[in-house]
Amino acid sequence: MSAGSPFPTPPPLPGSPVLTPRGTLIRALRGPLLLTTLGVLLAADHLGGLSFERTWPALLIVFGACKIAEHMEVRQA
Amino acid sequence: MRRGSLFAPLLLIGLGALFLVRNVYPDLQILPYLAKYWPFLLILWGVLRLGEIVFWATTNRPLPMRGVSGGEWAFVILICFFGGALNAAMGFSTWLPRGGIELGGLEMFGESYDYPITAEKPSGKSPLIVIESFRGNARITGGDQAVVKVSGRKTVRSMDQAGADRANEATPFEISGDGNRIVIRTNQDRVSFHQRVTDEMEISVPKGASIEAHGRSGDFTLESIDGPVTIDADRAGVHLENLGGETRLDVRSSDVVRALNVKGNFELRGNGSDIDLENMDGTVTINGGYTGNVEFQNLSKPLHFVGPQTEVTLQKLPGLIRMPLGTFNASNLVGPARLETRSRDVQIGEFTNSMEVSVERGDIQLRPSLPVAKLDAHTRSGNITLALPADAKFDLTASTNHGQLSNEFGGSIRIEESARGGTMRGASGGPAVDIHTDRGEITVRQAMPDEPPFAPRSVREFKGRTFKQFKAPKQLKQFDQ
Repeated sequence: MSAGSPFPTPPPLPGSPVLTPRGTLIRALRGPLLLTTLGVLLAADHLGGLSFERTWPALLIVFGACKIAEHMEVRQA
Repeated sequence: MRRGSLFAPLLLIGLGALFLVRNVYPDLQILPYLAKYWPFLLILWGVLRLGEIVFWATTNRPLPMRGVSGGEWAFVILICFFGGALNAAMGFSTWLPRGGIELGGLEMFGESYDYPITAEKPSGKSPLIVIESFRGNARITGGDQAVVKVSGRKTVRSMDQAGADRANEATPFEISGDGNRIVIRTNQDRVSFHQRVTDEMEISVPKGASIEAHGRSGDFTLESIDGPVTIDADRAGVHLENLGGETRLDVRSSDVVRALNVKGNFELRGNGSDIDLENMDGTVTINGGYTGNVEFQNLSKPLHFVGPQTEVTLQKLPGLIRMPLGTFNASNLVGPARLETRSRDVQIGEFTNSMEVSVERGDIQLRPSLPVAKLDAHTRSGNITLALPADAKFDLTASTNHGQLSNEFGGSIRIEESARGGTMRGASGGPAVDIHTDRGEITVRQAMPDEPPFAPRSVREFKGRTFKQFKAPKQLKQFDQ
């Protein structure tokens, strides 16, 4: 991050490099979003007969959407 | 300082709760629930993580580079692997070919297209009717006619009419055979795995027919049939009324098995939730894990029930047994009877002939009828209450290793107290009555003539709750609640 950022650089979390909040929000949300989507698809598979074999591309869509959001956020910043 | 995620402690609490429930209610089978609902663990994890990150962001705290770290993803894959394997092993899986598809769940894509089914075949008076494996519901009714008639509908779930028509043509409904053996075939296997075809059949058969039905998922309702009945299904609710022959059910996962007025021997194997048997004239043999409400009423011949944690044998049941989770209530049964259970509170009243009760954890209340027969009851941990009629003849030995003894019967019973427990003895020239608890109180008292039964007779109207609806189980459950 640039030196002029209004946010003070926080101490890094052990095991994970840290950027300032604005730059990493979408990126940090990406994993949990994918995890939630995976859970929903598997639950639909087990409970509703909506087979995971058919619905797995939703994971790619979520991943792609996150990437786009990340890109737009960085450009805005 | 590192802010740990809430998920790990919550997972620990969840695991603790799971094991606690497992210990308190050993009869509750957790694995089937786990096999089905484990993906919600991932949803919970993801949502918690989302919440945490949004909270950290709004409070201007530093965010981790990745919301879910590499190690956590490895753990997710491990969970998926075990969850999927468990799901497949319990027979729920749709990942494995032809594993079966749950009906009535999420149906977001496509539409249902219905096609009528009608077929007819003349038969003898007592043909064997074979229904080959299918998904859907079947209601089979016996009558006086010498013909097998099928009516109903086939439902195809498809994105468009043309696809549904193709699936319909690919799965012709067939009824074949001669007068003695008639085969009903839905040919659902002929369409691809993703197209869902279900059949709802109303089948009328001669009263003397024998039935051999195979199902993948759906309900069977059988009424007024005199021949033997065999049902073999992966997932099914089964409702039987007025059957004359032997009945054998093998249902891997049943939400309800209900039978009324069955004359022949009845055998049930499998796993499931509720069992409700009433007016059974033959022997009843049940082998499997049933976690819901298990109820028997008016059995004329011996009952033998073997569950994972509970085993019951008795000779006759003019009264009622009710076995909701963690309890065993019985009234009016005829021995020699034996009950062995890991963890239930046991109440047995109005029984004749010998009785043997063995409980690992749980209280025991016994109220034998006159004349008192040989009685043997012991629990490792729990109180025992014995209510004897005032003029009963018995030879009592009641002991506890840790706990109090109280004699509310009076008369000839003496208490010998030891360091932590004691023994109660009393003889009036009758059969041996031995009761023992390792840890718990023992009370012997007089039974009052007007005490209410431990398991009062069911006042529910059987006809009203059973066969009115074609898709019976869901309606029934609502009614029962």
